[in-house]
Amino acid sequence: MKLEIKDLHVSVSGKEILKGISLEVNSGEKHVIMGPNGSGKSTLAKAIMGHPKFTVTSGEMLVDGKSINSLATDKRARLGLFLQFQDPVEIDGVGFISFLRAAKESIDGKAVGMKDFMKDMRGNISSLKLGDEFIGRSLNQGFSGGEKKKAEVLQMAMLKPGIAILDEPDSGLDIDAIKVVAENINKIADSTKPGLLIITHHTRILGYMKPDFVHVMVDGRIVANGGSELSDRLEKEGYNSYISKGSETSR
Amino acid sequence: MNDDLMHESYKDIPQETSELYKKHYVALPVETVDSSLEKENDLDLAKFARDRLADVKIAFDAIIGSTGAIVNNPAISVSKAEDRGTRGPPSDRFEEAVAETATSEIVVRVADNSRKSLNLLFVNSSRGLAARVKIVAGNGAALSLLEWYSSAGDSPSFSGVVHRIEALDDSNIEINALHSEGRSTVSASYFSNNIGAGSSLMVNGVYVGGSHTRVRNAFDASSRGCTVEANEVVLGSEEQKFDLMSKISNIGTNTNAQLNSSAAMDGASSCYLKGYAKIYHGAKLAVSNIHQEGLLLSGSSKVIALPDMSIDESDVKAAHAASAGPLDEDKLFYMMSRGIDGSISKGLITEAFLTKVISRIRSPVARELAMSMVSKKIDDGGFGGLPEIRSMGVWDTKHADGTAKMNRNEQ
Repeated sequence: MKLEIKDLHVSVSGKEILKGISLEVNSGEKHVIMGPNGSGKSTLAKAIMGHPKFTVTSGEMLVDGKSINSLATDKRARLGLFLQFQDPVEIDGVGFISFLRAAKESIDGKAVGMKDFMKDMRGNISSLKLGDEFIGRSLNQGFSGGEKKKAEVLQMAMLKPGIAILDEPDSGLDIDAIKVVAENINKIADSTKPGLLIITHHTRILGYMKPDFVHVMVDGRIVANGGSELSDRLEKEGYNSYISKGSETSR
Repeated sequence: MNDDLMHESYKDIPQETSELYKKHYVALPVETVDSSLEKENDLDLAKFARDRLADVKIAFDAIIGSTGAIVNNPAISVSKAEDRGTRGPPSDRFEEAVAETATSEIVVRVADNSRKSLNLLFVNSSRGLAARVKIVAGNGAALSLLEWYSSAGDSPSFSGVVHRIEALDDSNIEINALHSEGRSTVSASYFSNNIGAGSSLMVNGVYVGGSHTRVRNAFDASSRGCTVEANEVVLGSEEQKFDLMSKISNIGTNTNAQLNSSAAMDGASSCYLKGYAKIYHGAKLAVSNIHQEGLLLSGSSKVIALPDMSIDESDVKAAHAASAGPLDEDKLFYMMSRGIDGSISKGLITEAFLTKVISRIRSPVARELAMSMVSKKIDDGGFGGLPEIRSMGVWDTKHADGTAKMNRNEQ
């Protein structure tokens, strides 16, 4: 599966946030987007999934060569795109299990037997070090910050996307939880070979997952591209030199 | 309220008699009510039961129609109109219409320290249904009553039912009124009560059918240590209009009165949620709560929440909360981002919203029926119909002793 972003411009309430993003992610590749707060990383993630708040003013998003600009969010997901939310909403009254089973049936386009589904589910719950009581809870309702992140990874493991956008999978996690989340993402990456687009502020999670490509995003633009050496450099030097570069580009 | 109203024709009584809500009510189409009540009976209850209930997995202890009832349980009797004794003044024109035209009163009786679980089916046809129900419970009695409201046809008609609950001390009564009327039915529903010390009364109303629905309830926590709880669930669509007014009163000491209402409205439907809590002088240690929530599923639907409180005692706890808003686009986006179709996502969020109040229903069977009723309307948008269980499992329809009962048999 291939996701191509070509000169993407996105606005929110008339204000331009993304100012010409171009990117290509293929199955099996690990891309990391790093950048300071407010640079537009989460906007890019939500725009790819088609959040109605974000308006694409120009540019194109393509999956396997076909434009998804006008596709509804559910159809993008059924093509194989997945967004791991930074702060997933809580929906009281929708059971986590019934929600995930409905999602699985939608993505797979066929009925999913409860027995196999639960076997798969329990395996992933155990791997993510989540308690069994997790099964009976409402969707993200009352989950701790760590549980929310793990629940997102659990969904990714169950839905087996072609391209997964992970919006800050490490934020708010303690050291042990970061390791568990990273190990599970690696497990998914090894088994189903999705393309990964990981959005993060800092490099801690990258200690557990070596990226193939690193992109630096500042003020709605990608201002630098490189390999894992780029993230090492950012760890040492910070974003300051890129922030000035982003400002120059704006002018 | 004026006692003289009792002696006038219902047609002379205004639609809204409450000063508090004279500017905020849904006017029922009186021509439908009047013409419906004046028609000849066109419903053969025995035939209806034979033809329509054969596949329904619930045994009804009584089937109540416009001019009669089929009763299958000794706990239920039918008294003639002249035997029904005195009653209070009507709260409005439609309650009086029921009083004038009901030919009998259904009496449900639960003896001291005994338990009953009973199911009633109310069926209206083009000849309107006007029914009076009296519930009498002894000391320590427990009753779980399921009432299902249905329509035998699609023609405009009126369905009006007036309830009076009389319970002695330490009784426990739960009434689940599930309204699945047809698209053109105008309905009016009334509850009032007098319960003894330490008793508990819960009345749950679920409204999905009908063109116009009017509810005028008054729940009194009248005796020491008693509890009244009213839960209201509305799922509207098309041009449906709902006007729900429930008054909860703390009269005795150490009493608890609760009102929880949720309305999810789609299309051009509208709903008034009117909750009035009164704490009387002397009702020390009373607890009173009103909680109302509205979910707007379309740009032209409306929920108007009007909570009100009047407190004449200082040593009490009282609170009210009301909110109404559109569907949360982030919730919808989240569900759709997992591949779930937009309309299914909207349905799941609506169900989840209404589940918060439906989950308060204690009877598992009634709770499941209420959820099934909501899911069915979300899925097919249809009106009316008979009870349909949408969950898995096997349902028993009869007890060994022959009394009607529903039990889910997990297998």
